[in-house]
Amino acid sequence: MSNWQFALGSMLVYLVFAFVIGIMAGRKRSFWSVSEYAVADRGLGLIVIWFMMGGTVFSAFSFLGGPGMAFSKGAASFFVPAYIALGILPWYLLGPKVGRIGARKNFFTMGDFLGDRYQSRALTVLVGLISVLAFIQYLTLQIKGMAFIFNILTDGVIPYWFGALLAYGIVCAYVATSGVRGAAWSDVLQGALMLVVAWTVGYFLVYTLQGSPTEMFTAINATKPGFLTIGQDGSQMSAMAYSTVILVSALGFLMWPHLFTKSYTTTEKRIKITTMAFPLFGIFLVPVLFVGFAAIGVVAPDALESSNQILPYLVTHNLGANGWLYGLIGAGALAAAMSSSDAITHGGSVSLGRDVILPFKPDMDERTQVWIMRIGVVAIGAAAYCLSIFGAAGIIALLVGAYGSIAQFVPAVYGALIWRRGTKYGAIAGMVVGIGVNYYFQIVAESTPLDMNAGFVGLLCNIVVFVVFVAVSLMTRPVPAALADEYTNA
Amino acid sequence: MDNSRTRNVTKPYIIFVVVIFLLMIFPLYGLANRVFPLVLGLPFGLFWVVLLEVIAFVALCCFYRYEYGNGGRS
Repeated sequence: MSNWQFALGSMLVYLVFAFVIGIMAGRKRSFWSVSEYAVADRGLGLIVIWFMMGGTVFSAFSFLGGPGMAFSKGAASFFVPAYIALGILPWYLLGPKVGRIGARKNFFTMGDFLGDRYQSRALTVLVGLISVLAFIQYLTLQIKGMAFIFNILTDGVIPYWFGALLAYGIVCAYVATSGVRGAAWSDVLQGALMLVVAWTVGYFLVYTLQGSPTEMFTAINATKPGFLTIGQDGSQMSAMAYSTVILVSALGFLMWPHLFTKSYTTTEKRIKITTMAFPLFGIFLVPVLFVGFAAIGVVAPDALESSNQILPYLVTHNLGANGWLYGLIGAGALAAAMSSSDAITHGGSVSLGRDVILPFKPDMDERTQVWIMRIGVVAIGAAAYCLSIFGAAGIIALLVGAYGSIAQFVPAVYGALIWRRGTKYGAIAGMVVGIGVNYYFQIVAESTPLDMNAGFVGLLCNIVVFVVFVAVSLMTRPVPAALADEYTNA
Repeated sequence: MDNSRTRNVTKPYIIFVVVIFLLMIFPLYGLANRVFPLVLGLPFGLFWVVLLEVIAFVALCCFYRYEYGNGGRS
């Protein structure tokens, strides 16, 4: 059997497993309940929630982007394990609070949460819209990853469009039928699989191509001084850019609605245990970076169209004859891309139904809501699929900006929990300015002040505007004291 | 709910999070921003990140134990 048949076979076996687990997860559960579809009736177990949070973070980026970044940017890639460990930490306090409020007030989304606290339907819709756009961008990246892996590991036998359709179609099927439970249970399989694959492949490549990690890093440092540090001669990133990208990613981490809403899916104790175990995921990511470092000196930088292709390139060009490795990498990479896509597709469908459509027709019955969310899965899925296969330059800029704008929810969310005087005008104005600034620096401007991350500049403006607006509106009437108390004292 | 218990860890926890954040970014990260010594085969800058993650894990275990464990009030 040749390599590509091995790869195809193992990827198909994996897909069947993922499909069956995802579908089975929703059996004997109420098919027509918004609560079940959106937050699994607030009762997910510990292992499931842990893998779900972790699996969601390990996206196509882990197998394609991470190694690519290590290969081309060196030490700048250290920001990935750094921000993942930092990003979850606030959840220990934030998660139980949000979960308690959500259970009491029957919330399912971030839009519910912010809209109620600031008494503003406009805020709900704004958050919903930005989330859906950001989700589509995120999905587009995942789908491209799946298609690419399928295509390259099968020697082009499976065309780009079909690989994406097959893998992502399965995701949509189990998300639409089983809701969050489908996404969560398939993540257990996917998470376990890709952890095994990341470590096996990472260390295997280092030992085959470079001898050992010590020899590898010594050699890299000798040939490219500064490459393994930040902000020195020969480094690929300045100290300011590195620090601000960590801050924005870490603070923005829990603002991703699919992660934020997981606060509603489980209990306080489980939230805390999940947070506890989460920094370990950052460590699990380290061998992924090894893949990229191992290629330095082996692969010429101009041999690749984009640095994201480094792993498939290494496998197909430098490891010739090992069919098992092909299959393992194929299945692991698919698992990584799919475990993110399912949570995001699910999150997007809930945000779309609940935050964007429901506010315009608040008297909808529950059955209709669930239907809208399920149709949302297909709609969002189709949009992301078409964008990733055909592309569309104008829309892409819009989506990339939205993707970078998620961190702009930070002031409103933390404000809700700790600042009793925060008002809707402050929250909305801050968010709009933050998003606008982020768009400007990410897409229009050539560089940012002091080389700060675009999102960080947005965040600073966001906070200033929020505070100024509230200071001005202190003359006006605040939200009812009892309501504000319910948030700060949760 | 039992707010007294939550309030007990909130402050130390916030301090802990801020400290870990600061150690991960410049200027404090500058202490670790070098290649040698290699530890466990990792450049020192990367080892620093891993080390902080282990510390965060251990610290979180302690917080949790304090709140729910044998020594704490459940």
